[in-house]
Amino acid sequence: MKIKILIMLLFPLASFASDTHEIKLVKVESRQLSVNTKQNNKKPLVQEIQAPSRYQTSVTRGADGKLRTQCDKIHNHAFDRDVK
Amino acid sequence: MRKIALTLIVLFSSGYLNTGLALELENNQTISFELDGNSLNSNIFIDIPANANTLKVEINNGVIGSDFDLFMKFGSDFSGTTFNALLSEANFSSAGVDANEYFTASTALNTPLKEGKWYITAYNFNNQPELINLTASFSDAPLSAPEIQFIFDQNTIQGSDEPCDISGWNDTTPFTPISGNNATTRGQARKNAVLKAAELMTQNLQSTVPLIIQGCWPNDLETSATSAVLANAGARTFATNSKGLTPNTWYPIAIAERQAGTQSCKLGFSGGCDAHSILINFNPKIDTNEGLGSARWYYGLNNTSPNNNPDFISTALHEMTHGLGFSSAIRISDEDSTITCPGNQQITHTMGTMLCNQIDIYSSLLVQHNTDNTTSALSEMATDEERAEALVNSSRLLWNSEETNQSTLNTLSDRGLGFVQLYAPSTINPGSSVSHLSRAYTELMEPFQDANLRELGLATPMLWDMGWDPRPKNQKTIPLGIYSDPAHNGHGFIIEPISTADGIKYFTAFFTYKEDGTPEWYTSFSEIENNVLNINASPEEGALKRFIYDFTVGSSGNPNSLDPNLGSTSLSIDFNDTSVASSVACNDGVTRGSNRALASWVIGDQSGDWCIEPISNIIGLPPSNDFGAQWWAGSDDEGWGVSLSFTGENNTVIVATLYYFDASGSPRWAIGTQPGFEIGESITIDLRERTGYARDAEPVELGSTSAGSITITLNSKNGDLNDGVIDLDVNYQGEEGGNWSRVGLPITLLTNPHN
Repeated sequence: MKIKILIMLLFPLASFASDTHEIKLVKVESRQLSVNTKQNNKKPLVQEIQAPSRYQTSVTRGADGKLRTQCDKIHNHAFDRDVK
Repeated sequence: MRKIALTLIVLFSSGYLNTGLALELENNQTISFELDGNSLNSNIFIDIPANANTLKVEINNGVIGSDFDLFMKFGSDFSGTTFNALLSEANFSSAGVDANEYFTASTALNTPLKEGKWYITAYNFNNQPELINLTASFSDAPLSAPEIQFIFDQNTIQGSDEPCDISGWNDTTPFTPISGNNATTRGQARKNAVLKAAELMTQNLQSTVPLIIQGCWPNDLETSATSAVLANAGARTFATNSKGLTPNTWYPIAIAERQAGTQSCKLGFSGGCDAHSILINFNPKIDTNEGLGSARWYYGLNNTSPNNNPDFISTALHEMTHGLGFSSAIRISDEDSTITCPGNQQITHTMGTMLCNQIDIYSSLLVQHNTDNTTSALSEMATDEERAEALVNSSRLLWNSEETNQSTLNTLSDRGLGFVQLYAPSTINPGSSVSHLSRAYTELMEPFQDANLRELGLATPMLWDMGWDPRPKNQKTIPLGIYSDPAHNGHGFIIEPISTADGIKYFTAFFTYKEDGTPEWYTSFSEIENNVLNINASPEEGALKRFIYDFTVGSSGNPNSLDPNLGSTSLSIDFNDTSVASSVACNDGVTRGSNRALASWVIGDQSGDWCIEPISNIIGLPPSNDFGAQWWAGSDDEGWGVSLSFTGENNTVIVATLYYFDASGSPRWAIGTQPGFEIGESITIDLRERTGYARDAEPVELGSTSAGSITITLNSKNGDLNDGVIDLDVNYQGEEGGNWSRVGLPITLLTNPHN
């Protein structure tokens, strides 16, 4: 990758072949950010919470010898650990 | 129209004005460019054709410690100059902690990939200039199920330091091949079986994001000779407010990733890029006499357990499906629990409390059937007590999805309201209630398994409802202009698009008649989703509006105001072939042409379902250089306009519908047609005012009276007031009387040009 970048620097605005396909070096319009908000506001909208529950299937052998299953919601211990 | 005009003014007066040349990306080509520190590129786009199903965009620069973010939006370039602003504008984003960012948009997402220009920007968070490589690749290949990345070899749970016993995957005990499982060791047989379960689970789902599942074999699950825990599973985390999700709704992380088209680590969520979405634990003691005596896990791939052994695949399938989203996060327990919620809020959860007081996507689809045959959404219940009652309401806890309820899989569709029924016993079963189907079904997602089922059954359309729907949501190419229903001759609709910062919206005019047969018109302004106009329109956003014109307002004021006496109104126009084909309105024996649509409207206590077709079915196809659109005189003389439709290769025939106001300020319309139109030449069209019949009345023969004329010269369709000139002199019929006239007034396009 570093070699590729070096080539691009040596031959600006040129096209060359990479291992997979052609890479074209171009100039683009750009503009400055009004503020660099990365550190403070990188997660402005999203939220998450560890899943409070998991689901667990248990099986019991009945008097007739047959197995009967039931799925129950159980507490997810990771929820207690990761809640901030 | 005032509101539309204001929208347009806002659009044209705000935002970033890009004066440079745009850079159009070619498909599957990588460009490399340098960006200054703390800056972003602008004016880079890729033009997506109508047949594209996916668009993958990725950036990288290979420099350790470098940090870029990636954003994409439809229709216009970004205007924001802060991270938050860019994120807010973007339809797709990837904002991880390094320079390797990527997402894949597809036609099957809540924000679907569609034909047109998608603008892409990379944001250099470094303080120094950096080179960045950007690649955008679209494809018309069919959408497919997510790639399964099953973690067999990590002895800690990814994203945490909890142990994960992987010895069960490496068990070298000899295995006798059975039912398509050709492994020779027990560990490999387990791997083969769990991958088969994952394949069965996702075969009718779609995602471009790999589904990462981690599996462990803990040695401490409850076990005895007569009972045992077989397995447990769940989503790693619930997410909210990332791209493509219904706002303020919890989603299992796998759906959040799917809808955003990228991994959770690129969306600001925890766990790293290798973290699983679903964790499943299996009990290894089932394969010993310690668990259930002589019973053993059955690992056959092609058939279910033929004897009294636990079926590994059906167990894994059931549990992992909970992790995909088949799970309510509403508190179902008589014991209170205080939870630390985002923002470090301590919230006590009692029976019926939504997780951190916010609905989850599964529970958002639950309704209670009330004794008066109405339904109440759990998400809209005012108190936890009301929700708690719904959770133990026996057969009255229902799934609110018309398509799922009408599925042939819903074998209880003949009961009650025909809804899918959830498991909600009157005596609470905290572990099983709500997040399972009623026991009246024979389904994989019942709480009690009487059979070793290996099909998702009803869970498939329910998962689709939550965000796993694999079907492309491409917009159909919808003919623009006038639509009418031959069974309701004389009434009709105008449908024209307007580009906004939020994408394409549609101006709609409903031209119809009052009870006394005099013409009147209504408008709406909303979006098309899944080929339905106004699909989610609330009465405030998408309902039909009727404007009143105040002739006493001076030139500096706004003469247009909303009629406050309408009552509730709505309009949806469904262009989907299946909706049209199955509708009563389109099976009324009346002959219609192609591109039919089902228009459902409500105005006060009147309503109708009409089968409409475009005017091109009647007058012929529009020309290649089509001047058809809604035209107006700009914001200085707003509130009225003229809809133009053309046919013939040289715009030979013009159909004009004028929307204006009578002397009492009520909306009126008149229509006329004239051959011989030529670009740049004036043409006079005699208008007729129709005498019709109420929209909810039986059709009668239309009357017609001369209403004056308009003379139009159309030069261009650039969107400015040099586009054309209109002279009009129109008289109204009836006791209102009066005249609507303009002389030499410049006009331009209110809506987008057709081509």
